[in-house]
Amino acid sequence: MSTPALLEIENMSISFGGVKAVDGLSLKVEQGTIAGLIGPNGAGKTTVFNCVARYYHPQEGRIRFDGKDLLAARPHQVLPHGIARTFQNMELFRSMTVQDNLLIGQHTQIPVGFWSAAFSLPGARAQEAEARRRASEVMERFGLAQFAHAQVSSLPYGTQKMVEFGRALVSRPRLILLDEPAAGLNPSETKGLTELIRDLRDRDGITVLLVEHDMGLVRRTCDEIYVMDFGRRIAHGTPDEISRNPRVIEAYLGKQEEEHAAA
Amino acid sequence: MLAQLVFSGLAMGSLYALVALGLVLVFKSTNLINFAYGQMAMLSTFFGYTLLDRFGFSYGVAFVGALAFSAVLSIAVQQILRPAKSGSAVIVATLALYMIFSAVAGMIWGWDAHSFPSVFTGEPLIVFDIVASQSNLFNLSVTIGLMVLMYVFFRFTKTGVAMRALSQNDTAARLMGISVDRMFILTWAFSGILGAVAGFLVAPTTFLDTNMMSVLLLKAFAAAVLGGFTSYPGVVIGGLTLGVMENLVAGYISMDLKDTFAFILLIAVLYVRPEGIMGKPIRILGRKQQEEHLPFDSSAPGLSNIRKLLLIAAAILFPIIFKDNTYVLYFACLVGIYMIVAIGLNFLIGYTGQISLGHAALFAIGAYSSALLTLNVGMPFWLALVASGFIAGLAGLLLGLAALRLSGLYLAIATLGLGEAMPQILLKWDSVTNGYNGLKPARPSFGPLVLDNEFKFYFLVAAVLLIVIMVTNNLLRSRVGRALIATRDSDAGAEAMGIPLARYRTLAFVISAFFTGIAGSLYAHIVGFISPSDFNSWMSLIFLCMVFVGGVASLPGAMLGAAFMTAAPQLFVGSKSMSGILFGGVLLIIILFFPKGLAGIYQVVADALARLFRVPSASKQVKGART
Repeated sequence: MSTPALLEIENMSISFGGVKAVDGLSLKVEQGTIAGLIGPNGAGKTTVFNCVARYYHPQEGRIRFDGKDLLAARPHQVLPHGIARTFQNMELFRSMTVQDNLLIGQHTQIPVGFWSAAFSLPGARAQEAEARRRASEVMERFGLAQFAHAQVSSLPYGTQKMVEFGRALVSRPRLILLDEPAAGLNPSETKGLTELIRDLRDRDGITVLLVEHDMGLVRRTCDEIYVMDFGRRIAHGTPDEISRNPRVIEAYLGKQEEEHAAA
Repeated sequence: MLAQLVFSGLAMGSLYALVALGLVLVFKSTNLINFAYGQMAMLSTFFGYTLLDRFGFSYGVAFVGALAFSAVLSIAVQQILRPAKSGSAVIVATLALYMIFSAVAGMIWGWDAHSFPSVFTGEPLIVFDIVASQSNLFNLSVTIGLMVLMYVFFRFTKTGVAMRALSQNDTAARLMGISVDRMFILTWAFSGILGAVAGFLVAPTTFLDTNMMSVLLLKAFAAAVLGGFTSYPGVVIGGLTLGVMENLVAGYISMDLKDTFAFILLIAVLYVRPEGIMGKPIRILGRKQQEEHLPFDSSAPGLSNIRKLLLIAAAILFPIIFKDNTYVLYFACLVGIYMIVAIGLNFLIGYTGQISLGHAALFAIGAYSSALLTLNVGMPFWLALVASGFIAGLAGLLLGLAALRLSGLYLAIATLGLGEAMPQILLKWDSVTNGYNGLKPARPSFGPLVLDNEFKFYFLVAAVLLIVIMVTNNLLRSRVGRALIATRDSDAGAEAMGIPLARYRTLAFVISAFFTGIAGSLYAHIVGFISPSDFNSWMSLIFLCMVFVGGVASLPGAMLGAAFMTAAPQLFVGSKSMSGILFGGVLLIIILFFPKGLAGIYQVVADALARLFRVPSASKQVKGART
């Protein structure tokens, strides 16, 4: 392809106390596609996410987003680049309402200074109203409108997942990192989620990189799949290619599942 | 001279080490930090004193009796703390016990100092020019003996190994068949015994009174932090080092600097290397449980306009009704001033989950800044009022920057150190602050308008309070407030949303300090006299109580708490003990059983009433009142 990929990870390595969690990994996510990152537990998938989100700093390698060096960014500067994420164990603002969670999702997009906030100046109020309008739009789309003023911690698990999803989307990012979006969802919820993820690409034109164990979901959504094992990339291809790849089959079936390690 | 200073420093340092060991012992096994530890040791020493003095038992019997008492007391405290759900709840609960124990001791034995007999009155030993008094030698040998005993216990006995296993991973220890409850009780009992030993060794040198352990406890914290909170040998080295260093400062620089030095060292160590000489970094204070916070909704409907008008009308009518009762009006002014402090402190504790045990220091900075600016520089009052907010805000900024490196426990200790150091700094810096004699700031004035009576003060305080409430309300309902709360609820989540954690956590300190500084300025000009002893740690604890008793993360809660904490002692005028027991008791019950405070209780009652009378809109309005 002539245009550079939206997200490019080049030869990235990171180790914790001598254990290589990610070892010379390279991957590319093209604009407007859904890419999957799969592998057995402890393969280093979430570590890759945390490097992109800048929680970890890889010892080697490069991460580029839209041609820019992402490694220069601090964690809170990742979203302004246009990268949003969800977490494996959900990091919602539990004491706050659904609407407030979606408003915090727009934190970097509400240009209101301290003093105009403190004295609730007209400009601040207009910005706030605009942010609320955007939040309602997203709540409407994810079926959250009825919970707008409900405290997040009081909602069922599947609904909380939707809130986190909405919070990632509300800032209109260019790339969304989804860390095990289907974990803990029942089959019908997973089916709905599959549609939502496809919608991100087809309707919003958002690029997606997801880590997921539910192979059905991965096959139905991803354009491209990267497979990791022991921190290395062991395969790359379309869902069909991956499901026939003997190394992938070995990685999944040839050994026992381990407990969640560094991932 | 050097050798002498080092020796007596070691003797004193061994006591710091002893107390620090007791603290760390409990911390390592249960992850709890006991701010009541010094008062428990004090109570035990008093108990021994009674056996000795009233009942005429021998020193040995009294000593053993005090140790037994201390062990039992310690186990009782452990049991009391069991319902505490979070790290900060434990800190506050032990502070409540601190108040209760002080008050109980004051009630039984009085607030005056008693002289405590020393076992050794014989001639001091003189070795190479070092005068070693027998009690110094005794302290050192007891401490060293106990340390050896502890080493052997943890290293070679089955119980000791089990306790060590417990401190590393209590779930795994439980699975290995270790009875966790029994081990905890044993740990606390052992810690209690160490405290009582320290109390017995200290009492002859300082006199026996309710306050005898508070400085020692702070120095033990300093020693523990210096050596590393997680390492026993580190703590011992920390204690001895601190003892020697402060003695050298006292000997070569100035006796006056001795105590202040320890606090400055404490803050410096926390800043440079929080994990101490030999410790490992502590990341999490207590088990990281999901802390329950009051629900927050930045778009909840506020009070209806009618209610707002009613409240303002009540606030205006109040002074008119009590126009001739200066006592009530003066009192209302104090309540208003403390409400501002509580709202400020709530920014920190409630909305960003950072604790401060030294807010009296910021209050003092506000009060002294305003007094000095008006008295020495001739600045008009209104400008000094704002300026003192900014000066305190600057102090808050520095504190906030330091706090970025500290969390939970360390932040509590650092702010406690600051709170202890502030009155001493104000005293020693008498060329500016006029030391003991204090300052007499002029009455508040705006140009030719001088506010010279309580009636006028009232409106000044009410106006400032109103602005503070409005600004707070606006901030909380804006992206700033949401970001603050986001950092409390989930730091990873907040960062992923583009919120710079450091900036917002520091901002919370600045806002909090700004409000506290303004309140300090009002206090100075309305009370009309300030002196260093007004701004002691007790005041910081009262501020803390206001927030927790009223209800964390609730604006009406902070105000209710301030009103309650200021009003309650009026019921017990003249009885320091009763108000201590009342405050401590209320705080303890609220923190253990009603974590949402008075505001939470009010909400439950209001909701129940609303249900009872089927008023559909009532619960909505209550929700609005909480923001």
